[in-house]
Amino acid sequence: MAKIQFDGVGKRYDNGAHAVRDLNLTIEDGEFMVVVGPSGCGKSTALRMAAGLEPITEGRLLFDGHEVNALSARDRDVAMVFQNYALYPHMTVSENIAFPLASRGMAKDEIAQRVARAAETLGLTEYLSRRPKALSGGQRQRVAMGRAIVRDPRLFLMDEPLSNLDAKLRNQMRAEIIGLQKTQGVTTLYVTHDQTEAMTMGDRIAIMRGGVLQQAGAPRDLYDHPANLFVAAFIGSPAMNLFQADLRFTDSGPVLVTSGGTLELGPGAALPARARDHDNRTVVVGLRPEHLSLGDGPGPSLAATLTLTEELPPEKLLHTLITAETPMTDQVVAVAADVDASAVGDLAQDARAHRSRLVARLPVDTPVPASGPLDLRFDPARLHLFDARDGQVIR
Amino acid sequence: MTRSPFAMYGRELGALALALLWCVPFYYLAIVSLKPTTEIFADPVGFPDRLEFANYAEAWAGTMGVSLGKAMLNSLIVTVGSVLSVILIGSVTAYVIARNGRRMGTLMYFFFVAGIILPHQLSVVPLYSAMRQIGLVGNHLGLIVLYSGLMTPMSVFLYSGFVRTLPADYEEAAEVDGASRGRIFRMVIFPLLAPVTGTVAVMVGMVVWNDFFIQLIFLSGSPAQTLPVAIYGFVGEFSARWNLVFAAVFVSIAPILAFYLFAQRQLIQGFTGGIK
Ligand SMILES: Nc1ncnc2c1ncn2[C@@H]1O[C@H](COP(=O)(O)OP(=O)(O)OP(=O)(O)O)[C@@H](O)[C@H]1O
Ligand SMILES: [Mg+2]
Repeated sequence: MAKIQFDGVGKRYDNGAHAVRDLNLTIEDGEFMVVVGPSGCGKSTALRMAAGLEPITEGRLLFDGHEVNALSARDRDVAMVFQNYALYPHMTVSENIAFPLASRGMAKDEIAQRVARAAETLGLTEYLSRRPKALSGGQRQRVAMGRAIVRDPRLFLMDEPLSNLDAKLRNQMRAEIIGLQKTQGVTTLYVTHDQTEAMTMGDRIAIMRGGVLQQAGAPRDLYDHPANLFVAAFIGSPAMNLFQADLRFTDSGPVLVTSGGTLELGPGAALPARARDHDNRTVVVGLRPEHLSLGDGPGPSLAATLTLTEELPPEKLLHTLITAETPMTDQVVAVAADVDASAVGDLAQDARAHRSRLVARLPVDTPVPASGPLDLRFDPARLHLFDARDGQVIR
Repeated sequence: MTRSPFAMYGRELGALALALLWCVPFYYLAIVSLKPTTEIFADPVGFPDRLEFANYAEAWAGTMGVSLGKAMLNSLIVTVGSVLSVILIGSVTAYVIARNGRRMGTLMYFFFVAGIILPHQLSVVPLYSAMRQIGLVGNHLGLIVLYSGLMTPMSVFLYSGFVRTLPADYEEAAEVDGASRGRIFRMVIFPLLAPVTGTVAVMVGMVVWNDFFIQLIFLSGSPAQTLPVAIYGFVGEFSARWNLVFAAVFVSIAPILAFYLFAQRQLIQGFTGGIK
C-alpha cells in the first residue's frame, strides 16, 4: 500500500500526441481514486504510466515519496485489471490467479492457499479448473479481479474493468469492487468514462479533458462545486441545466437578462462574492434539475414550455424549453460530443433557435399539465455562475 | 446451405476416385519391392511370379554398413533436432522482431524474408568447405545446423505474422504480474503461438525427412547417413537394384504413414488454425 503522487507528469507519444499534460494528483494511502473523462482524454495513458507500461516523458511519479519513473512494470509491485481482462487463455482459472505469485517465486503450498482464498472471496471455487473461454463475462471479470487481489500490491490499477458487462452485472460488480477495496485497503486508481460509476465508487474523483486535469475532489464536492463548465456539464445525470444570460446589478438586486426576458433574483439573492466583477457581462447560468420546482412560492421563476414528461418512480423528469441562448462553449460541446454526435446537433439547433433545454426533476406524484407553459421556480442560492468566455466558475 | 443428394453423392464418388488414384503408386511400390531381381527389367510392372520377401531382409541390412534401422534413426535425429531448433530460434526471433521498434523490426524482417527467397543450392560449395573445416560434415549436428539456417527464415515469417495479431495485453498483464521477459515468453507467448508451432513442425519435419540433395552431399559415406542417402546406396554406378530400393522406400514411409494416421486431427487443425 502506498501513497501515489503525480508530480507534473506528462506524456508525449512518439507521434507527437500530447496525451497527458502537467498532471498533479495525489492519491492517499488506501484511497479509491477514480479518473473519469470523455474518450481520448488521457485516462488510460495516466494509468499506464502508473503501471510502468508507458514511459513517463515529463514530471515525476512518486510511490511513498520515492520516484518510480525508471522502475519497470514488474518491479513496481502494482496489480492491474484490464478492460478485456487479458486472462491467459491457455491457463486454467487457478493458474491464471496463481500466475503473479508464481512469477514472484512464492512457495507452491502458499500459492495454493492464497489462490483458494481469493477464489473463495470471489465465488470462483467451483470454476478453478476451467479455462477462461468456458466462463461468462462476469466470471472472467472476477478472475481478473482474483489475479489482482491474490497478492498485496502497493496499488490497484483498473482500466474500465466493468465496461464489458451488462448493466445489472455492472452494478453488482461495482459494489463488490468497492467492498474488496475497502477490506483490502489497497490504494486504487480506477479509470472509467462513466460518471455514474465515478460518483458511486470513488472516495475522490479526478476529471480529465484533453490530457488536462480539470478538477479533483470528493464526488459531492464536484457535484456541488464544479470548478468549470466542463465539470458542471459532465457530472450529474441528468446533466446540469445551462443557459446564457447577462448579469446586471440593479437597485432592486441582481438580475439575469436572457433573450426571453429579465429574471429578477431579488435583493437578498446570495450570489458568489466575485459575481460583482461580472456586472454587465455574459455569464452561463447552471441549475441542477433537482433544484427546479413548480408552484408559487418565494424566489424567481423561469417561464418554460413543457415538451415531455418522463416518469421514473420515485421521480419524474420534465423536459422543457426556455427562451435563452444555449451556451456553445467548447467545454459544453466537448461533453455533448462524448455522449454522441446527435447531441452536438441538438445543441446547435437549440442555439440557432435561441432556446435552451431545461430538465426538472420532481417527485413522481407532483401534478403536472400534459404540456404547455409552466413556471419553474428556483432558489437563487442554488445558481452556479460561470464566466462565459473561459467557462471558469464565478466564486 | 442446401444441396441435392445427387450432388453430394457425386462429390463423394469423385473424392473416392481421386483417393484411389493416389493408391496406384503404392501398389507398384509394393509389387516391385517383392519382385526377384531377375524379373525387374524383364517385366517391371507386372505382378511378380514369386513373392521375394528376402528383398526386405536385404534392404534392411542397408548400405555402407549402415542398416536401414540405423538410417531411420539418423533421419529421426536430424528431423527432430531441426524441428526443435527451428521452432526455438524462429519463435524467439519472430517475437523480438514483431515487438521491436518499427525500424529495427522491419529491417530484420526483410533480412529473414530475403533468406526465404535466395536459393540455397547456390551456396552449397562454399558451405561445404566451410562446414568441413569446422567439423560439421558427416554428422547429425552439421545437418541440424544447416537445416536450421535454411528453415528459420520461413518460420520467422510465419511466427512474426502471428505475433503481430496477438494483443499486447497478455504481455502487459504478465509484466505487471511480475514475470521476467523469459517467463513471459515461455509461459504466455509461446503457448499462444501453438497453432504456428504446429504448422512449422510439420513443414520443417516434411522438408527435412524428405530432403535428399543436402543429405547426400553432407552425409554420404558416413555412419550418420539418413534414409534417403541409404536408399540411394542401392542405386549403384552400373546397376540399380530397384526391388531393394522399393523395399527400402516402403519401409521408410511406414513411420510417416503411422504418424499421419495418428496425428491426423492435429495436423489438419494446425494447417487451418489461422483461418477461423
Ligand atoms: N500508443 C499511442 N501512440 C500515440 N498516441 C496515443 C497512443 N495511445 C493513446 N494515444 C493518444 O493519446 C490520447 C489519450 O489516449 P488514452 O488512451 O489515454 O485515452 P482514454 O482517456 O483512455 O480514452 P478511452 O476512454 O477511449 O479509453 C488519445 O488522443 C490517443 O489518440
Ligand atoms: Mg482508455
